[in-house]
Amino acid sequence: MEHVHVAHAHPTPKLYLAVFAALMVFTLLTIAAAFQNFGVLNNVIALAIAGIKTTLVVLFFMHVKYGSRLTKIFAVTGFLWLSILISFTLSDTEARRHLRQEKSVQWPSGWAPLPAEVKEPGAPSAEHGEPHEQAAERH
Amino acid sequence: MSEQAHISAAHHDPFVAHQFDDRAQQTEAVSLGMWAFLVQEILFFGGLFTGYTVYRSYYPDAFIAGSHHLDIFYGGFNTIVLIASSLTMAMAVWAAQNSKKNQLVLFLILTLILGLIFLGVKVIEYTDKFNHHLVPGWDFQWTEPHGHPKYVQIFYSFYFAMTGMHALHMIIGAAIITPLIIMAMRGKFHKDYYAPIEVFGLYWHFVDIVWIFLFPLLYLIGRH
Repeated sequence: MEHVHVAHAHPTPKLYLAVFAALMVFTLLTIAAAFQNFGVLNNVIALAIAGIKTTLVVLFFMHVKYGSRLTKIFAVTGFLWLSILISFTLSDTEARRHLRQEKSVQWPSGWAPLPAEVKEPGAPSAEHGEPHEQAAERH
Repeated sequence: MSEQAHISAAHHDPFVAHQFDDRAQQTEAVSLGMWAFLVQEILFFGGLFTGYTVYRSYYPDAFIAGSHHLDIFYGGFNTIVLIASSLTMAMAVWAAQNSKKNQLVLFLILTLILGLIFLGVKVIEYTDKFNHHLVPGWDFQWTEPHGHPKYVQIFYSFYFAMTGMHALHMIIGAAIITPLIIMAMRGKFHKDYYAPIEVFGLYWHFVDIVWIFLFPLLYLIGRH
């Protein structure tokens, strides 16, 4: 029974403090990164940092690193199912996005074509038109 | 006590319930059960995160415009408060594992206080949103040049649904930790029995993880 050994291994306060310090650093890093323009990478960086922080919390604060293999599978499964939920949903909604931008398609009332959003009369155009968004809208 | 339980209590560790072979099996069952609940929680919040992703993809400019009205100071401050509360919670579990009663009580109280500070800041933020007519469906007004009001309202719907559901989890957490503090004061937890502290810790850290994602997704988009 291999889990007999691991169940009694516990992290120390010193390790908890180190994890806390790392979480603080990553928090400051995600704020700093948000003010830089990395184009489409801004979202990737924000989610990557949140992912690293989550991994630290799950492994050390939630003791999954010291848990049984079954506990590890449970933890990973949760995030795996979440990724299925998001990716399968987006495969549908992002496909419909093409359709909604087609002017020729007759939409039920209330279903305005997508680009209507920013093109308000008198709205200053430049500042928010980041390259990645324009690129995203072209797709 | 039944005869059966009597026999098993005589043969076993008194802190192992009779349906378990040994303490390791019991400990694993406890954390697995909690993880099963947390997996469900991941998917429960996952629905909100999925909706957020779909609508942010549809209306990126409205989401950025709406996000600019959130205060990074409050959001960042609360992030630090919540991570600090995760540290004190982890320390509480450590104190329980080492039968340090006074430290356990102290760390649990600190966790509760930090949780209440988080909720207090959330009250300030929500009040500000009400005062600035930024609550969807409730006299919503949007006068900024950027972002169509109709779509900015979608951003604020997600803001209130996601932070509101998160705050509800914090309130439930505060309601659970209070009796745990009283039980800890009475010396109920020690190295042989601390499962409630361990399991509550898992819940509290999960709520922290949700905020770790909410902060960049709601407060930090399109800031450059």
